[in-house]
Amino acid sequence: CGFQLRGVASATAMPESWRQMYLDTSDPNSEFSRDLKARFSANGIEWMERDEANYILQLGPERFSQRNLSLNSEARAAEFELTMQARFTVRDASGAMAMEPAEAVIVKQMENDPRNVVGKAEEIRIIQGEMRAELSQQILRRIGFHAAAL
Amino acid sequence: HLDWVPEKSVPEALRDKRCRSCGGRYLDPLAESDPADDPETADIRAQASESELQGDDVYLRGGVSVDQGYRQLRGEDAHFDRSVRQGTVSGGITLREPGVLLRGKEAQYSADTGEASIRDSEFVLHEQHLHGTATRLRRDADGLLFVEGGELSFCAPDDEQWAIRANSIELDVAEGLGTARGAKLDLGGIPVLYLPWVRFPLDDRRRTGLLWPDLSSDTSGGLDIAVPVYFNLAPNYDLLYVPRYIQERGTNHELEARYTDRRIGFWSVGGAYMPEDDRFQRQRPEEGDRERWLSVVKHNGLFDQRWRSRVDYSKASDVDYFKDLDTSNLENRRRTNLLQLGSLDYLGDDWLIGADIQQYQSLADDINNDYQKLPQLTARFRGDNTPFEFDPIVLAQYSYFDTDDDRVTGQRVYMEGGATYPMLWQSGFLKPTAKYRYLEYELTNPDNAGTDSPTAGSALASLDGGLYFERHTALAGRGLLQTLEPRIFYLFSEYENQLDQPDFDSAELTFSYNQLFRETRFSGRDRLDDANQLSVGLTTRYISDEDGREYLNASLGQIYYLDDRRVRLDPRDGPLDQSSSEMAAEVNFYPNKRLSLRNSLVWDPDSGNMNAGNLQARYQRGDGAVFNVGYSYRRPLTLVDRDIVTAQAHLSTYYPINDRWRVFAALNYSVESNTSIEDMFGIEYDSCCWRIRLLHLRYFDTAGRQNPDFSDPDLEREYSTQVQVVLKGMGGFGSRVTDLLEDMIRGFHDRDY
Repeated sequence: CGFQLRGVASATAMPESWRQMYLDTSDPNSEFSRDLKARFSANGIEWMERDEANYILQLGPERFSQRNLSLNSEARAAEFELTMQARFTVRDASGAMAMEPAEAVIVKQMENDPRNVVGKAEEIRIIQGEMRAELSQQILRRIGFHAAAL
Repeated sequence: HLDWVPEKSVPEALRDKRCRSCGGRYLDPLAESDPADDPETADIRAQASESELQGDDVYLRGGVSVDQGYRQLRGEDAHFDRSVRQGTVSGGITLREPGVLLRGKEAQYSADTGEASIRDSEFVLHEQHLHGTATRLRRDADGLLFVEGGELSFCAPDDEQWAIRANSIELDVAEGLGTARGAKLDLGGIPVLYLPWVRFPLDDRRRTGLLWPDLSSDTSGGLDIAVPVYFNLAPNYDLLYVPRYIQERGTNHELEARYTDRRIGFWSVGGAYMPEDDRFQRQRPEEGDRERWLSVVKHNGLFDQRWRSRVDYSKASDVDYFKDLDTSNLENRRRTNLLQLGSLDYLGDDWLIGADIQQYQSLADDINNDYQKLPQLTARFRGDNTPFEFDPIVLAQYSYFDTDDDRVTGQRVYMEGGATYPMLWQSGFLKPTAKYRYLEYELTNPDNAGTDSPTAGSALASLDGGLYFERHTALAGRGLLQTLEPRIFYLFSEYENQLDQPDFDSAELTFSYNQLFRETRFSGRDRLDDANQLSVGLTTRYISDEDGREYLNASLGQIYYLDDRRVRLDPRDGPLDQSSSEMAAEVNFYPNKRLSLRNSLVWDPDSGNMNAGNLQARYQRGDGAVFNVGYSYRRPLTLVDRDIVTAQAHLSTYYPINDRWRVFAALNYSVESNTSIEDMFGIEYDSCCWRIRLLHLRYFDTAGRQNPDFSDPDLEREYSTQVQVVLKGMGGFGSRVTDLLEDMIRGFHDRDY
């Protein structure tokens, strides 16, 4: 059916010039920044100082929100919807926009148990970690494709 | 007049919604000028029919025009002192900068700082859509405008439906804030309100009318009037006091002090105090004549990019506080607990070290306070997942759990150590992991059952691997890349008897696609789960060839259990012996920027039952129209004592009928009880410079009784009616309406115009 293993010549490979990047964020040591940096590094991106980098990835903070998705018969939350989002944009060394500002969004649902608040708070913590990983994956994919499509 | 251009003369491209509703717009002749052309460093070019030089004094007469960078000054006559670079211009002057037009009879002007003072002035802020007049208009070196003895309006200059007249008005365009002192609000030329002090937003950044009175009426308290008073004590420190009168209850005093500082971060300290609540005394006579109060501390800090601190502390006088007194948000009223948390983390290059103190105050009569962490200390090695290098796994955690109830309490130590070796290729990845987990308790058991110091240890090994296949394809004429991403995850974890262990912070994780690739089925650290299982998942994506946007992703997977799972959250429960898990599927579809469809399903092939399903569709149009359709279904498996299915439908919309009228509505409907849980509808009229919204809301309150049904005839509905009047560009009455709309209509964001 035409499927092939992704190879070096793939459209998803980050072009050589995009591989020297600088990460511009207010919170470079947070879990999110670390996850994103590690994921980009594993895919061949070298993190440089600002004045040596070809491209600057501007990363906004992760924003997390939680709301009730459905209510049980006591009008208490039966399910939560969790949303994590982050804005990002890429500029070139001269400061000009190399990629339109975009927002990565991840939405998850979970079952709530109003009688086990602490256990469910720990579950939210686990899901937050996964959402962070999926956010940075999404950002990597979008920048990779954008760069490759140029 | 004042750069105002009637609609028919406005270029087609600039006729936006606001232009249509106002019948015209301001067109700034300097809109295209170069912002880098800073007047402070630019030369002065002056022209006039006549000029005369006397020492440092320059006299210009007849059609004076002075250009300095992007700044333009026009007038009849001018005198300029070159030694101090200051001058006076008189006779029908015009001072322009991009976004600002100032007119007047006479101006004093400093070329170095741009400071100016103009008599009998008129002014326009093009982007803010504001115009006004002033007996004296002053512009300081920072670009702040001070209007003395003047008025201000967002309306079209020839159709002033409202205006603010004030002794003094300060406009800070850079900050997006305006402040008026001794202000009278005129509606249609009639003064209707006197405000000794009012602060208002000039743009989207602080758009809600935070500091306007708030009016509403509902069945939980009758008429409700709140009048915020704001004290701007310093640029980084302010205070908000809100006396609030509730007809059937009494007066509530709300206070919030905010402080922000680069070293110590953001702090907000506040609360509310109600000395007497008449309705509460009638409803809950057993509580006596109790005062009602709330205290709130919030803090977020990041020092030196390494030390992260957080405080989120709320405490209420009684379990009904939010239900009775928070009318802005249904979600808040339905809270069953209040978080009380303090945490400090060190974000090192190799280690993340954190300390938490956490407890919850229960907001329900029938729910006990949960376990408190006093404290929890965690140290974790931060791996960096470099491909083809060993990455150590080290985690150590100490926790002390306490409770006010008669339950087991104690200390817990959790440790894990191991390594992972990530391998990554263009075509896929493989990641073996091995670690050992160890758990030890020191317990105080009220009924002396079981051992006081149980321990457990378990080795875990996993192998995570995936491949990426892709092909080029086209759909509806669009070039697409389709990927196929099979993934397998094998997990083995030793069984260890854990019958004597308490449950301090564990819960069973909700089954979803993500669960396939997790190392545990429990949250928290009280259970080391046993596993011998293989997860198989498949994801496909359709990605745009042009810009990498993902149109569709779909995933499907299942876990195959090779052994029964004996570790249970409740040790009395028997082993789980199914040979495979439910099937989990996720589909996300984003065909264009307007439409989104998210769908997740959990299906049990053994019983043939759908155990959970969730569908959310949203359509958003450029004109602000939003439509939402949602359905959520869940057969709760983890709650043994309750087997009620929740099935809920959601419909909501915000819909502009034309440029002036909009309708909005929301419905959350319980399918299993065949009744509406909460619904809301309303109407909005929008003119050039003001807007009115009426909103009516019906909802069920959190029921205090055990297991009532939504169709229970005894269950009382609450009703609430809210009015919002917004004077555009200045905020207005009734910001709670905005809160309710944003809360109940997903994807709705209020805009000022």
